[in-house]
Amino acid sequence: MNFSLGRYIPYESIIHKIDPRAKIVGIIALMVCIFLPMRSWTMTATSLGLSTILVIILLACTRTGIHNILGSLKSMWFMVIMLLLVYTLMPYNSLPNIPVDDNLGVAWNLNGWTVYWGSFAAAGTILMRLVLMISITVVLTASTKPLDLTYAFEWYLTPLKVIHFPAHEVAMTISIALRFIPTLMDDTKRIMKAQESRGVDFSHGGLGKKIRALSSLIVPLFVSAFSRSEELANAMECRGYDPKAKRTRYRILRWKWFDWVFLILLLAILALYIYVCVSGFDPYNFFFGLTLQ
Amino acid sequence: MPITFKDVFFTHDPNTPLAANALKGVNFEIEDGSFFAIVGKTGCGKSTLIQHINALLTPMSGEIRVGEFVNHPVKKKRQLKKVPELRREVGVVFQFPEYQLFEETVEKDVAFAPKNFGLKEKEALDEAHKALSLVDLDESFYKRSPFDLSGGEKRRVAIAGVLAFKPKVLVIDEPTAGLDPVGAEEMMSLFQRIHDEGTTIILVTHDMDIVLKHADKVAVMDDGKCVGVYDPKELFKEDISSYSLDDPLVYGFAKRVKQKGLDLDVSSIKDVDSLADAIIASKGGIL
Amino acid sequence: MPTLDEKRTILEVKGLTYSYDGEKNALNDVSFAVFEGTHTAIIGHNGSGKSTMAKLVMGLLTGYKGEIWAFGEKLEKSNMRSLRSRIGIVFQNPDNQFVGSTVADDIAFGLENRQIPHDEMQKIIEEFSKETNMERYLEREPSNLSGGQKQRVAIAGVLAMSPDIVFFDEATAMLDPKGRREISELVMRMRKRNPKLTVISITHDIEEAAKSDHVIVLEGGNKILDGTPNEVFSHEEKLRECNLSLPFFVTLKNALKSKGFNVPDDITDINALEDYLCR
Repeated sequence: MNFSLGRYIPYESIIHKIDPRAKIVGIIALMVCIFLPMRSWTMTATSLGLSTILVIILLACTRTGIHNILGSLKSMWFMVIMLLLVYTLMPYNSLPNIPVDDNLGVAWNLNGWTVYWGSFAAAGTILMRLVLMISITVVLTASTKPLDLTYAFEWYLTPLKVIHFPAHEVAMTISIALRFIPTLMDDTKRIMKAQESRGVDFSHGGLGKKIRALSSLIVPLFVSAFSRSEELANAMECRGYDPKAKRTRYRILRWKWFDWVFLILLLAILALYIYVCVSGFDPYNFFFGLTLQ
Repeated sequence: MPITFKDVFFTHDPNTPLAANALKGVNFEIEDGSFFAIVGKTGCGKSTLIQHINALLTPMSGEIRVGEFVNHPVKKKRQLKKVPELRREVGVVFQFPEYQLFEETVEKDVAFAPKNFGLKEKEALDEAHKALSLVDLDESFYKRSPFDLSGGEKRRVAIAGVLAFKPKVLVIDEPTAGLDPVGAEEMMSLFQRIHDEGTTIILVTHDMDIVLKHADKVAVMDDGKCVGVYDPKELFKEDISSYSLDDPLVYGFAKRVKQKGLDLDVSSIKDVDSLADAIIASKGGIL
Repeated sequence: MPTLDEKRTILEVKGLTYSYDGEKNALNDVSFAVFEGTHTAIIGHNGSGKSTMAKLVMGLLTGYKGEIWAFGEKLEKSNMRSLRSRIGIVFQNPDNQFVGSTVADDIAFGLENRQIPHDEMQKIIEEFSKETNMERYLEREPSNLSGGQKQRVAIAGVLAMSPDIVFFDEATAMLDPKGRREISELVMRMRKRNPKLTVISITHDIEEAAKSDHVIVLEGGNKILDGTPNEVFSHEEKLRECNLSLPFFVTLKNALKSKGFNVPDDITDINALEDYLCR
């Protein structure tokens, strides 16, 4: 398991300092950019290339090594092979959503089995988008404490209180869940070791054995989680917690000038991408008179 | 079964930012049939160490011999041969073992391990019943749900679940944690009984009074190394505060009065009675 | 040392009876008083009803018979919140009472509930993290703390609410000796700093009870003994019936006595005995 993925990395970077509310919107804007369909493969490649550069800058700022991202790809190898197989084996243009561009020509033709370069390009595009999406999520989670993320979500959900959406309760639930993940991970490890000592083999055996092995893990885990939650509820009550009452805040989100800069920058990029997507604007043609097809 | 640790090194989460050297060259031997205590402050590597005895962990270098079996560095744990056989010989009772219960009835839970080790349903239940009577739980408990029992009863069921496959070596980690003094005493006399019937016991504990009362050898761990193996009485006569170990109550008292100026003969002390004798002797007999 | 009855009663239970299932009583007509500024130990083995007692006082269980009086007022639905806000409690399991994501957040939790303004909160957190020696760990997450450190955070969180009574419900049972020592030193410091603070520890650590001012023994939901440690631990027979052992000091004193070496009655704790022997 790759532990460094999706975890908060305590480091004083500019990205770490940006308000989580700005970060969430900015990151959503970037995701939209990545998934906007472009009119031609040149524009798709260009837009993805620019996004990649942007994401690499962000990753560098948060000090998340590229090798972490590549590491996560290792666990995706099966998907990558499937993607390539589907795109190259399926007949031309029978796939929805991603039109295979036949302008790139035929890669090979074996007794009527025609494979276009465009198929590879399409598969590559999908792959690239996935990798970028993972990377962006990593930027967000590596540079933002889970609790700050929760606060940001709560802030965005607060207007929904008008329709009686329990924004505060949801946020409290999420933050406690986040707080207890490491504790429950420890429980899992401990119970697995105890059951392994009782002769359970978690990695071998038929389906029946596997189910039994798993229940010897899951039942105690639930029992422990329930007793923990009961005690936690008692502790919270004793410390005066009332979900309906007003509370003050120790952690306060403060919006600063560079939050505006970050947000406006990313929204501007999004606007540009949308313009190019909708208008079919081709800078290569417009500025250099080139027709790349 | 004699157990030997030879130059055992172990690192948790190697090659990550969380990497921590838990064992830094551990060497010692546990004789067959002994009641062997392992002590040391939290984080000294005791828990990591005992997990090597039944191959829950494999060392980075060095080896652990348990009878015929050798636990040595391998790429993947399943490359070790005969792990199930080893685990049948070495039972481990972890701290707060009541958290491992999961079956609908007490007898089924206790029979779980014997069945995993290849016993037939009927034989496994027989062994379970024997183990339950060993921990003083009678027939009325057999069909009850383990989750309806009191804390102390749950712990005894969990321990029966390990005793049921009759391990030749029993490793116990803080078995008295959270028990009241009388419960703790009952628990320890249970293990004493099991030891007297010929099982090698390896006990990890912070309670030096238990070590003094039950163990015949004690290994002191400090910072991932075994500092030495001692006779408990010899160890407690020395100053052990540098290993962050507490004195057993009688030794603590003897050391304090000696420091305050009473000329006490520490060498004969092993319990409250002998302490009283030593005090009277040092005061020149009965006043 | 003033005797117990000269002190002001701060908490009193009268005829307290409670049953979880309606059949067996977890507490059976229990009455006692706790005095201001004392360290009171409630002892008894597992299942004696001592934790039920704390839960009732904290209002975590309802539907009891009898009365609970705190600070001269009878505990009722209407004054429950205000009275309870003056009582803090530290539970047994260090993990299950750590609500915040970091040390600072956890100390802040109770203050947030009390709607303390942000700037004031900052000061209080600073003060009590210093008092509990946790000021260097404010941004640490609970998974990177030892059990003793987590309990110290719990104590900081309770002290930050400036309570008059602090319950310790077997708060050291899951700790190693070092953690246990840290907590008992901290409790001593707390009481020295605020002599009016009342500490009630629910424990099965006999040695801890021997060091307290007032011991109450529960067994099977009944109160068996109540008095100073000296009085309580002189009832050897009764304690044995309750499956409780004697503190080391008493065992040693008895052993000396049985061998014909008499220790004067005014020697009532282990330090005094040490000094007496070395005279």
